[in-house]
Amino acid sequence: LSIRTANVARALAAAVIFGLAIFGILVVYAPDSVALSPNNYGWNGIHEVSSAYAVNFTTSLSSVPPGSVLVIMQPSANFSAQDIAAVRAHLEKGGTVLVADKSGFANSLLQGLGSGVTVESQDSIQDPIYNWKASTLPTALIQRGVAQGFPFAKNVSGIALNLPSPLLLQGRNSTAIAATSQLSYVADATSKTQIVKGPFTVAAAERVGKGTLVVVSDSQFLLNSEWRIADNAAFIGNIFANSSVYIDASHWSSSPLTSSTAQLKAEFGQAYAVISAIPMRYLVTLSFVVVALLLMPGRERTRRRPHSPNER
Amino acid sequence: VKRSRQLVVESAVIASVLVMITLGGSIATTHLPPSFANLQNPASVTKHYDLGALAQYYNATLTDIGTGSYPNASFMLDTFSFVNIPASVNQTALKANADLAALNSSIASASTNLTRAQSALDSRDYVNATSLTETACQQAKSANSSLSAFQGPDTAKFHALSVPTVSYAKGRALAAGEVSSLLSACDRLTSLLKGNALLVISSPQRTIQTGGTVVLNGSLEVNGTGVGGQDAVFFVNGTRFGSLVTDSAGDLGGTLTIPFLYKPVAIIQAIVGRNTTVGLDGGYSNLLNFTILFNQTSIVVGDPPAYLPTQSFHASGNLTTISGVPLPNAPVDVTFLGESVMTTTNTQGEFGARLTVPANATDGTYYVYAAFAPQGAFGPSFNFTSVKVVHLPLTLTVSAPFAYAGFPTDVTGTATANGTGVAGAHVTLDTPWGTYGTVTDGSGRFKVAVTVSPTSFAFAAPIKATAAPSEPYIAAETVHPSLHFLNILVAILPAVLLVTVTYEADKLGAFERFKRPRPRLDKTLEGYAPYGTVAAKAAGGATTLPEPLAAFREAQLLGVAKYGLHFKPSQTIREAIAVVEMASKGNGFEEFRRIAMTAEDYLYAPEFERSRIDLATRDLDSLKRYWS
Repeated sequence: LSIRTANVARALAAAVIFGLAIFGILVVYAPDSVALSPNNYGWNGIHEVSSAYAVNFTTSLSSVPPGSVLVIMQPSANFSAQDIAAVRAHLEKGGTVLVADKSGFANSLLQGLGSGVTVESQDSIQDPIYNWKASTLPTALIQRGVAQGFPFAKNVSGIALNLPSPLLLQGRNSTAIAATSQLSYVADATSKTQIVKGPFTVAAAERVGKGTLVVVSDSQFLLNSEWRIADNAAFIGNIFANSSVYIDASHWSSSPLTSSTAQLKAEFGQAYAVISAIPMRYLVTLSFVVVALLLMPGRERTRRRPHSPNER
Repeated sequence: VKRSRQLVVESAVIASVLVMITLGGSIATTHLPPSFANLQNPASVTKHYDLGALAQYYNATLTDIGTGSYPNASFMLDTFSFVNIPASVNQTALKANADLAALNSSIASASTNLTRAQSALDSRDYVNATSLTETACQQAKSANSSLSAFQGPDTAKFHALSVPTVSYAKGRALAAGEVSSLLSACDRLTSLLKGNALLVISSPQRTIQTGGTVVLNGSLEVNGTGVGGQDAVFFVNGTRFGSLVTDSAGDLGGTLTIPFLYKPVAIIQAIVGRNTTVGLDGGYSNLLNFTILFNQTSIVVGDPPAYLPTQSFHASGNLTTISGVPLPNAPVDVTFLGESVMTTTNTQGEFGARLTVPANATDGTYYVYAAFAPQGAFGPSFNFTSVKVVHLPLTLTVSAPFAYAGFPTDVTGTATANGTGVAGAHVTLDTPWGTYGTVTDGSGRFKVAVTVSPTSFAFAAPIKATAAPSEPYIAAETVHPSLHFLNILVAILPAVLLVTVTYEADKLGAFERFKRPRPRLDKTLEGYAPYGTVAAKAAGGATTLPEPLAAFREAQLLGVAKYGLHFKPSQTIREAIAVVEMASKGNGFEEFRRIAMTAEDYLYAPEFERSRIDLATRDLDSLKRYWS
C-alpha cells in the first residue's frame, strides 16, 4: 500500500467514524415528531411528562414491575384474556393502572377486570363555560372529598381535557373523581345541538386488590400541549410520584417503540450496556487509543526516502 | 492533477460526514402514519368566549343558593378559576363572585342558627335561643346586603359588558325568596323570646375561678312593680348552677358556686318561671360575661425510668385546686418530644397518657410536660418530669483487602450489638470514588464491591463506613478504615513520559554529540563526478550521481569558479540558493534556482517527473554559457 493511498484511507476512515458519531448523537438526542414520543417537544409528544418522571415503554403487560404505574393510553386494539390477567395481577399486587382512553378500546379491559366503568366513546362532551379555550376543550372539576379515598386527587381542582367522552359508572366500587360542570353537554354529531346535559363523569377510580385503577376518558391530557393546563401536572404527578411509570405500547398499531428511531436507540442502549461492563470498557478505550494512533499522521512518513538510481 | 486528487479526497470526507448527519437527522424526525394517534391539536382550536354561558353559570349558582344547595354553590364559586371568560369581564365577575360567596355563607349560617334557636326555644334553653337568634338575624341581614350588591351594581356592570343578565333572573328570584324567608323567621323568633317580666341581674365581679364563687344581684319587675318570692334560676353556659329568691321588693342577691368550667368565658343568665297568681308570664334576664381563671390549680406528674427508642411508657399525675380539691373531667395536655396527647382527668382528678419514645430520638434526657389545658389562657398550671433515652451501642468492623485500580475489590465487615449480629442494617461506604450502599444479612455481615478509580495514583485512601441499624434503639456507628491499592498507571505513565521525552530530545539533536556524525549531502556528493562530464568518463571508477543531483553539483562548481563561492557542508539546498542569489545579482540565478529545486524535489517530493531532468539539463547548459 503506497503512502498516498494510506493517507487517503486514514482520512476516509476518520470521516466515517466522525460521521457515525454524529449519526448516533442525532438519533439519540435530536427531537423527533413521533406522536406520544418522549423525545417529541411538539404538541403531541410527552417530553414534558417523561422529563419529570421516569417513563418507560413496555410491550409486555406481564413484565411491568410490581408497585409501578402502568399507563394504558390511546389503545387502538382490544385487550386479550392474557392482557387482562396481567393487568389484574399488577393491580392485585398493589400497582396502579391509569387508563386514558376515549376511543372505547379500553372497555374490553375494563369489562375483563370486572370494573363498573365504561367509556361511552360514541359521545364527546363540550362545556361552554368551564373550558380552557373553547367548548371542545372542557375543564373537568375534581369532586369534593374524593382525595380522602384517593390521595392522587389531593391539591387538584381541575383537569384540562380534549373532547372527552362520558364515563358510565355502574359498579359499587367505582368512584367519580372528576366531572364536567352542570353546564356541559353532549351534542349530536351531525346537528351539533345539545342532546344530553351534564355533569358527566370523566375520571373515575376503583380499588382492585391492593391496587388502584384510574380511568380518564381522554387520551390527550398527558401531552405537552395540555400538561401545563389547569392542574394536569399536579394530577399526573400525584399518580406518578415515587413510582416508575410504564406506558403500554402493545396496543398501538405502530408506536414510538416501533419507529426506526426507537429501535436504533434500543440497539445503541444495548451496545452501550455491553461495552460498559468490565473488562469491555477498558478494551474499548484501548481500541480507541489504537485507532487514534493509526489514524494520526506519522512524522516519519511525511518524507520519502530519496529515489535510488535503480528506480529509474 | 495532484490538486484535483486532493479535492476528490476532501469531497469524499465531507460527503461522508454530511451523509451521516442527513441520515441521522432523517431518522430522528421520522413520522409515523397518522392513523397511529388520532389526536386533536389544541392550537387548531380558535379561542372562544360565551357570555351567555357565563349568565347560565350565575343562574345555576343562584339557583343552588336559593334552593339550599349551599355546598354546590360553594363548589361553583370555588372552581371559578377554570371558567373561560374574557379579561374585560374578569374584574366584574370576581366582585360578583365575592358577593355571591358572602350571600351563600350568610344564608347557610343564618338558616342553621335559626333552626338551632327554634330547637333551643322548644327545650326552654332561653340563653342559647336568645344568642342564636341574635346571630341568625345579623347573618340574614348580611345575606340581604350581599344579594342587593349582586342585584344592583354587579348586574348593572354585567349588563354594560353585554352579559345577558336576564338569563339569571330565575336564579336571582329564588335566592331573594330565601333571604326574605330568613328575615321573616328572624322576626318571628325575636318576638317569641320577649315576655312581660323585667329581670335584671348584675355582679361586682368580672372574673371567676373555675369551680369558684360569684356574687350576683338583681331585681324582678312586672309592669314597673317589684315581684317578691319568685325563684330566679341561674345558668352558666347553659348549665344550671343555683337559684336566688327575690325579696318583697323584687330584689335578689347572693353568692353562688359555679361548676368547674374549662372554657375561657362564662355567660350567666337568670330565668323566672310563669306565675299567673302574680301576673308573671315568665322571662329571662340580661347576660353577664365573666372571664374564667385557672390559676388556682396544681398539677403533678410522676417520674418514669429510662427507655429505648420506640418503647412506650405511661406518664401519670393528678390535677387539683391549690386547696387540694380534684378537678374532674378537666382537659390535660401531655407533651413529649413534640408529640402532644390530650387526656381528661377522672373524677379524682387523676390523668394518664401512653407515650412512645420516637425512633429518631438520640441519647439524652427529655422532658414530659403535663399542662392543665382549658380553653383559656389565664394561669392554667403545668409541670414536667424527665425521661432518659438511651441506645444500644453498635460495633462495626470493616475489612478492606488490597486492591488494584480499575478493578473491583470486595470490602467486607460485620455489624453487631450486644454480641449479636445486626440484620438489615444499612451500610454506607463513602470512598473517594463514590458512595456505595448495602444491607447486612441475617448474621450482620455485609460485602460491598468497590472499584478504585484508574485516576487514583495514591497507594492508600481513607474510606468511611457507616452502619445505620433498622432498629431505632440501636445506635448508628461510623468507622474510618484505609483501603490500600496499586495503580499500574503509576509505572506506565512515567515510562511513556520518559520514552516521549527521550524521543523528542533525540529529534532536537540533544544526543548528537554522542553519535557518529552522519554524512551530509555535500559529503555524499564528494567523490562523484558530474554527470555526463568527459572527466567522469575518463575517471572510469567514479560513481555517477543521479542526473538531478549531478546537475546541481555541477552548477555549484560553476558558481565556485565564477564568483568564488564557498558552499559549506552544513548548508541546505535553500541556503545554497540564497548564497547564489546574493553573489550573481540576477545573472544566471533563475537557472541555478530551478536546478537546485529540481534536486530538492528529486530528494524529498512524493512524486518526481522525469521531464524535469531535461529542463535542468537545459538550465545547466545556459548556466555554463553565462558563467564560463
